[in-house]
Amino acid sequence: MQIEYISKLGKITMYGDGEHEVSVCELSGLEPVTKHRSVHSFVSEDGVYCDNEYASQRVITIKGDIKGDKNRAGELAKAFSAEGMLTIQRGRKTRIIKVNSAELVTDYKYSPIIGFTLNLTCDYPHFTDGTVLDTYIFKIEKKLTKDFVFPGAFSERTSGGKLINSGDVGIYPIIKITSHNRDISENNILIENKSTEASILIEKSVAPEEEIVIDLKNRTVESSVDGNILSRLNLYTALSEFICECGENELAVTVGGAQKGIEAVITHCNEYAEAL
Amino acid sequence: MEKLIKRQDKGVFYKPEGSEGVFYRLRGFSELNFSENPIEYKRSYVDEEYERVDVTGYSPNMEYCFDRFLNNPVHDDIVRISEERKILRASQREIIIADMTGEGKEKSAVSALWTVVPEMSRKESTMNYRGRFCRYGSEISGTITSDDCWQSCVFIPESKGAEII
Repeated sequence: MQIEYISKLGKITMYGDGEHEVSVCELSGLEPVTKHRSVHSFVSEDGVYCDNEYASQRVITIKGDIKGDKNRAGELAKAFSAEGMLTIQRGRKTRIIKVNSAELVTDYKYSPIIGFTLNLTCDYPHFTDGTVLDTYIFKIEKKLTKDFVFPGAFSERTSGGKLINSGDVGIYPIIKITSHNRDISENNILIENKSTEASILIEKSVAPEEEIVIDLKNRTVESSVDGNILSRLNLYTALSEFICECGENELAVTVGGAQKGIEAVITHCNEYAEAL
Repeated sequence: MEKLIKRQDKGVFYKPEGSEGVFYRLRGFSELNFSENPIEYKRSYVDEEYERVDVTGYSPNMEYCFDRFLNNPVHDDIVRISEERKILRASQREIIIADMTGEGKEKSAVSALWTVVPEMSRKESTMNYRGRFCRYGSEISGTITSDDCWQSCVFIPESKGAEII
């Protein structure tokens, strides 16, 4: 096992065996986190109705020791004093999580070996596997080149696509739409998830070469021309509803009725509730 | 040729309070058992099936037992610590452990500060005192010399300026 932490103040690598300077004796907090539920019940009815359910923050505890170079303890403290990314590598399995705050306790009782306990708090409790996947949901690719031979297609069109969420929690992807079309007549952009029947409607005309980025996780909609265009969202659009559930998600995008000259790509990382 | 080391080949000398640099050999002690008491750091790492053990330090002590003799400066001092219930610095004494093998007027030795921890006194056919010497300070190497057939000695530290605090 290898655990790596990278923050703007340093990088620390810890190992699961005793042959390295920084080694891990105990690791906990990798299981699915507790879900908080708010429920209500009715008089003379069995059971409860769940109103809201959410996973709380994750706390990962790492206990280990530092041997050899005593400066490593200082480096460890410095690196963990800033928020950063924790990568846990176990065989071929990689899990990555953002750490928002860390608490470090050192134990000099067994000098020259320094024991340490790290409590890492992760505001967002889910792990990713570090692989960023792009899925084109609208694209026209020109095939006509100087090496073109008949029979063949002049272009290949992707209209709609499937986002495969191989993780075990629903995800909020990033959708990027780029227009190369000078002839878009209607003033709207519609993105649909046909699997969940959720949709996003942006009431805005798209300028040539304009790029619109919808970051669903951070709830932002940015245009390269107009900046923040959250106010252009249709009144009945809720970004939080556009979640891509586990498995196949059939997506489609329509930009002002255009049939060509636009490119829409959806970017996601699979997320996991555990790193066991 | 191999030679068996006898118990008396390890000489232990004690500096009573106010002895002005003179260490006296322990006499009349019926027991003097050395324990190194290693400090072990045990742990098992997440990728390993076995436990690793490191020795990270030592906490030596000597268990003593003696029959009380009058006019023995070592006995008098230990009994005073015991009966007057001396604490902290007042219960600490310098003890030398010397290698008495070999010829010559000088013997190699190590001196250190030890805390006298009296445990009990018992009246049998003789007055009997029992307790422990627990190491307090770090060791200083040096040599000892004697002019009374090693009944008492003077310690000369190896490096100039080295002192027991």
